[in-house]
Amino acid sequence: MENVQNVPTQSKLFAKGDLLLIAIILITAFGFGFHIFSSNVGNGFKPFPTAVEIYLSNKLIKVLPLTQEGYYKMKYNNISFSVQIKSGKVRMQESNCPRKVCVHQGWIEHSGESIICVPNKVVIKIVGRERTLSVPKKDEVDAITF
Amino acid sequence: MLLHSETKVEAYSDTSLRNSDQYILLISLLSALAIVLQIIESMIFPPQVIWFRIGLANCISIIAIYLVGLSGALYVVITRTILASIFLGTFLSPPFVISFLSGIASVISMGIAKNVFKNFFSPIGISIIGALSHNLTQIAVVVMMLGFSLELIRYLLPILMIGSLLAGFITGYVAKNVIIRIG
Repeated sequence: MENVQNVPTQSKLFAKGDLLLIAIILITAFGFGFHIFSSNVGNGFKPFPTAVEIYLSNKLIKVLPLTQEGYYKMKYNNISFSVQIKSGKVRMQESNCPRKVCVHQGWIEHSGESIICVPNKVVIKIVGRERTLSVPKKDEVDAITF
Repeated sequence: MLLHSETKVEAYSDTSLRNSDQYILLISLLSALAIVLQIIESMIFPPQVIWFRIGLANCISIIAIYLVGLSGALYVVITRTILASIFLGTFLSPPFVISFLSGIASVISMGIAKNVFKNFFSPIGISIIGALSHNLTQIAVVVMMLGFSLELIRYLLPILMIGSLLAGFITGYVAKNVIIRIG
């Protein structure tokens, strides 16, 4: 058996290189994974702030940050509507469409939600990272399982 | 056993012995073992439910690298991935492409690590290298299939690196004991 090369002996569990390799992998993994533990600190982790996109007949006409509170009145030919942004929520405040479905929908706040006004062809859409991911609100449950 | 005490374990690295019956027998035996292990593992960890496996078949790849060298281990891993996917019914599907390419990549990197750094790594270290390169190739193939996403890399890479450390340790420990006993 002496002439057999590279066959390990049973005496030690790890060779020198193994420990070095394990150390390098652990350091790299924790370096890459640091943001997983620190993602609750501040808002610097967001790729872009949450925004409201307003489309008129499939064309993007306005992008508003969700943090910028206020009323936004818009008028295009015979279409007029106004959008209100308040404390991270957005709603269609008024619209000149006949049945006012978009106005009655109320506030939307989560990324991916949208208000659609069919007669005027207006779409209000929230884009960006979910706000509750980095700043969890109180008294709100993420999910319930049984 | 197949290997008599006089036989050199590394003898198959010589090209003259490549066509001997024992070499071919060893490769087919290892392939059969690897196929069985992969099928058993896919029953224990069904890939539709659990997305993390420890890679028991990778054990056989390490043993093959020590017994029949890098080229023999490549034969074993190619046979194993193709035949096991045919038996499991995933031939030419995305999981097969992923396991095929990453199996080849892990065997090549393990063979290079073993041949270049002679005794620097024990089988455990070589197994960790193989598991890591398997996971990295997996991510690369998925990125090529589905497109690059920063979230995937940011969240999956650290988890997969630590996971490959654990899986590599388990398979390497088994392979080391097998090699000590039959080598």
